Amino acid sequence: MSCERWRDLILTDYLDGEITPADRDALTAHVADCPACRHLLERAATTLVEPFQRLERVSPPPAVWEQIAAEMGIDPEVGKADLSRPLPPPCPRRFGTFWMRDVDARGDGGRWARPGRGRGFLVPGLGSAPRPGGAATHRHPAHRRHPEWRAAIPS
Amino acid sequence: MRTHGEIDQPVIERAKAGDARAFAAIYHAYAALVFSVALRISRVWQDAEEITQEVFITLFRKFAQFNFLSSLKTWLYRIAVNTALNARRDHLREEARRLVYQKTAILRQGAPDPAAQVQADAEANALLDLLPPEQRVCIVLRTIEGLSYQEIAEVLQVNLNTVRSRLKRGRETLLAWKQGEGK
Repeated sequence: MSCERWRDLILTDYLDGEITPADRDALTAHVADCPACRHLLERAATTLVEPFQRLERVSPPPAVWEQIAAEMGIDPEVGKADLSRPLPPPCPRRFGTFWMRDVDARGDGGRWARPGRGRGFLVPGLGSAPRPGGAATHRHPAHRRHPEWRAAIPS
Repeated sequence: MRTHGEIDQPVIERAKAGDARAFAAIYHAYAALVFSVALRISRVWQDAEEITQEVFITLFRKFAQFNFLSSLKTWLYRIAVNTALNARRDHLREEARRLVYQKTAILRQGAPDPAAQVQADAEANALLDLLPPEQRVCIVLRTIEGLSYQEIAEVLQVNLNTVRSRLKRGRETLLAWKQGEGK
């Protein structure tokens, strides 16, 4: 293999840790006898990799999420909730307590709530509003929502 | 390799179905990834903010098309790179303004050693500026983001040898510049 090929290997697979063990052994043997390739090998990492590795990942300012939430018609506070808490299991859309679907009377149900369109949306953790007439919830009992639980319920 | 919060498939499914809290979780897991890539490619803080917004709004609008053939992370990298390249083509702003934004941004982030971080940022950005966009993207994804050759190939939808070739040519350019600088 010519020095040009070894040089290519140093600038790519070697620097990026993608070199095969066989090529690594062969490269080690080559640089022992080739001062030019050894010189490149010795300075490649400090010159070509280290300057970039000192960079920190940068988070966008909070205003970016607020703009996205506004565009999508989401309450931006949703994104500020305790995200370390596991998400609750998904529930059917019409009974859901945290789905952000439209809840307009037409019941199209398939679009996201958008501001300024006279539609309400459900807020995580708050549940749906109590129904007139005293019915506090529209949800089916747990054993009907989760049929697999029925066996565990004493008759 | 950098690590960040990974989002599992049930959360993605729920975001696709319209669950705002799941979408917010995805945003918070990947916002820094998208913003950093956008910043390194566009080099303009304000552009990076706009690109990040555009990427997540695109994700929201096209979520139904996401079919899990590639990972969400790969998908986001791809949209971020393409959006940033387009933004860069659309308008290049003056260098002085870029640097002001970069330095302000670093100070805002509360880095432990802001002066050193500003210096590191300036050095890395000066190197990235030497490269044409395709090589710059490969250097960003490999050296800064820590993606493997296979992952870069999937993000850019090119073959492995193209990734290797762009990295090699980019590094040859950087090496030549460093040699000139040392004279």
